[in-house]
Amino acid sequence: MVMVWDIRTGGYVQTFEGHESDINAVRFYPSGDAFVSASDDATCRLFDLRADRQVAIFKKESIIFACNAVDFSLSGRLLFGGYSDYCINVWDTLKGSRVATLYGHENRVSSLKLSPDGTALGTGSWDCTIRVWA
Amino acid sequence: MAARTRASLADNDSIGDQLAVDMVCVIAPPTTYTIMAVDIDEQIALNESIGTNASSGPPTNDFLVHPSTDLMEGINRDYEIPNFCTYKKIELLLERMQDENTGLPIKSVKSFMSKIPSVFTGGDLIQWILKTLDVDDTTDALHLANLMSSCGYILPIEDHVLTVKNDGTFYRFQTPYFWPSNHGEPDNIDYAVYLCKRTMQNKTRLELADYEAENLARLQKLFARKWELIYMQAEAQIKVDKKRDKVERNVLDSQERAFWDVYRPAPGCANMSEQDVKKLMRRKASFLSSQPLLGNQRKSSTASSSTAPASALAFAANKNLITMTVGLLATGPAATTNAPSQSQTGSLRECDETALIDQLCHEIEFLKHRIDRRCLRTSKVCENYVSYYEQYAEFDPFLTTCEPSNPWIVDSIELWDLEKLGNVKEISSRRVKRWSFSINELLKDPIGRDLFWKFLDKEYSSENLRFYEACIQLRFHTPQQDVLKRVHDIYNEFLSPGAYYSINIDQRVMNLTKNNMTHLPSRYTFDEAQDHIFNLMNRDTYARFLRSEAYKELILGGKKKVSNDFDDKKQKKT
Repeated sequence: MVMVWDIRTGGYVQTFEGHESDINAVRFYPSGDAFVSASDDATCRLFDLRADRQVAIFKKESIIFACNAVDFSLSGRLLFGGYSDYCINVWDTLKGSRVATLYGHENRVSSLKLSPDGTALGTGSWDCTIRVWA
Repeated sequence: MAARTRASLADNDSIGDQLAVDMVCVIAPPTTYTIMAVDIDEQIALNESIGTNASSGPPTNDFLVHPSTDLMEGINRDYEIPNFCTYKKIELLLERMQDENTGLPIKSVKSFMSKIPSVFTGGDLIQWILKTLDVDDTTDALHLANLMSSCGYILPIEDHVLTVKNDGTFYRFQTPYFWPSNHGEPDNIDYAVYLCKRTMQNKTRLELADYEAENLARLQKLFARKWELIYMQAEAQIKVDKKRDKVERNVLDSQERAFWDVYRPAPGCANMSEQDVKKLMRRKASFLSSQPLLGNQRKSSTASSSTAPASALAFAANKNLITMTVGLLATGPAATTNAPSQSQTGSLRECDETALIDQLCHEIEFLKHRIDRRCLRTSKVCENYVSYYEQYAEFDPFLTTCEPSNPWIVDSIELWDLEKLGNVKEISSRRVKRWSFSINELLKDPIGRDLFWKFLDKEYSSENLRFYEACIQLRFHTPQQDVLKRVHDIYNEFLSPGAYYSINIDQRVMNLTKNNMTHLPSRYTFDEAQDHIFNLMNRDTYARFLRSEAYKELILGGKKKVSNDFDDKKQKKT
């Protein structure tokens, strides 16, 4: 379950259910109206704050390992997910389908972030490397 | 370390053709697995301490004789086993692979002098995955197979390295008993017994690999005091083994070896059983705190089973219950610890009940609130995503090639140099265009912000932006100790009667803000006023700014500039 907290009052204001296991990461959609969460159940889900519900799920039968980190491309169209199966899967946010897989890491990908200008993607992994993709 | 990239998209408005992602550079040097070695040493230290506890009972490590699953009753497996969710998924897949009709062809193969029982080829496996699952291509399928293997579910019959090749190499399924979901991290005593057993059996196929021999030597030094016991256990296990028939033993040997290849992998292999330390700690914390009452009951149950074989203890310790169980044993007989806790249980339960009622009431409140909340329709929200994408697509370097070039792909930092420029005249129209998306985009860009300042100055309303920025500063960039002072500063500067930069807010907001001031001034004191001013700027001044001559000129001028640039480049090329 994802909770949205109000840092002023210290209470939670919204909750989003759906994930079947631990949630490892959350990231706001670039417009700030939604966010995506990454979970041990090998899915990423897009929750909308205004609609108060899950609007998309990014999963595939052949992806069975946990997702550890997520980030959006600048336009929000692409969603990058770093998985425990050593790859980074790139999803089409609007269609919910996978568009690419980035192979390269030799152990699980633990963190991932886009550069602020959106030109490149940095990933950190348990194989003790940091890789930059563009 | 070459990275392969696939963009597999076959739709019409596909973003895939534009998506040519590739790895640019690798920063860290290839790693030697020094970390793992440290890991093992630590574990040895840990296991030593367990060993001393365990030595109070007879260390009859019956780890291999009968499944220890029954020991796990009462333990929440979801909490206790990392990656449990993943393991369950793999196991479901494995079940499908072993299906008699739709599964993989499993056969016994005759080789030179002997028979290799119940195996399948890597090629068959990949074909099955391609046919049955929604993988994109062979690479994808191979990747999945390799991962299942590295978790110890599919094992090569000869090799220590748990990988799958897409050819005629033979593989075997791991038996459920050795699945990682069925037991926790095994300890070094078990490992020592296993290695010991293999040296005793004197068969070529059981010969130790170099790294295993090294491990054995190290363990022997460590467990010198109880080596005899380990030796005896190994002997006992061999005796049990000998009763099995030859084929069964052959299969079991390979499966046992694969099990240890997962937990004590050959050098150079990634250890899939490694766990995230942060997560482990959190797991433990939530496990202990979420069930204070249940925890009590569990304590008594674990304590009562302290007569069980020592492996149960070692097992529990491995499962991070170490502090609980060992702590109990250290304080003495189970009865003494249980008596006071039982007398407390009654009062505890009452407290717990009221807490529970409170919690439920709170939840009802929250759910009521949730029903009342007005929500946007999903279709509306989705339209919103699409329009956001359409607006920003040209600024997304992963979708549109950026101008002049992506500094990560081409060896030139022109793009960043351009961004750094403070010169209004040389700014690209793309950047100027972005200012029209929203006032936030305008304020985010230093040049845009400067221009907006100038525009406001001309209109004699720059105090609005000044106030807005002061609020942002207060909210996000002020250390807690300065907040009070800043709040008063802002009030004096903008809101007090006769303030230098007096801002224009209506009476209602003014009263609200004053009210906030008298209560507890915090970084959120000016929220209402800030919203009010922001809306004012957004609706009024910002709209006028976009219509202003200066802005229009910039857009047109920028375009000219860019096209000139292109012409220049073309000329250079020719």
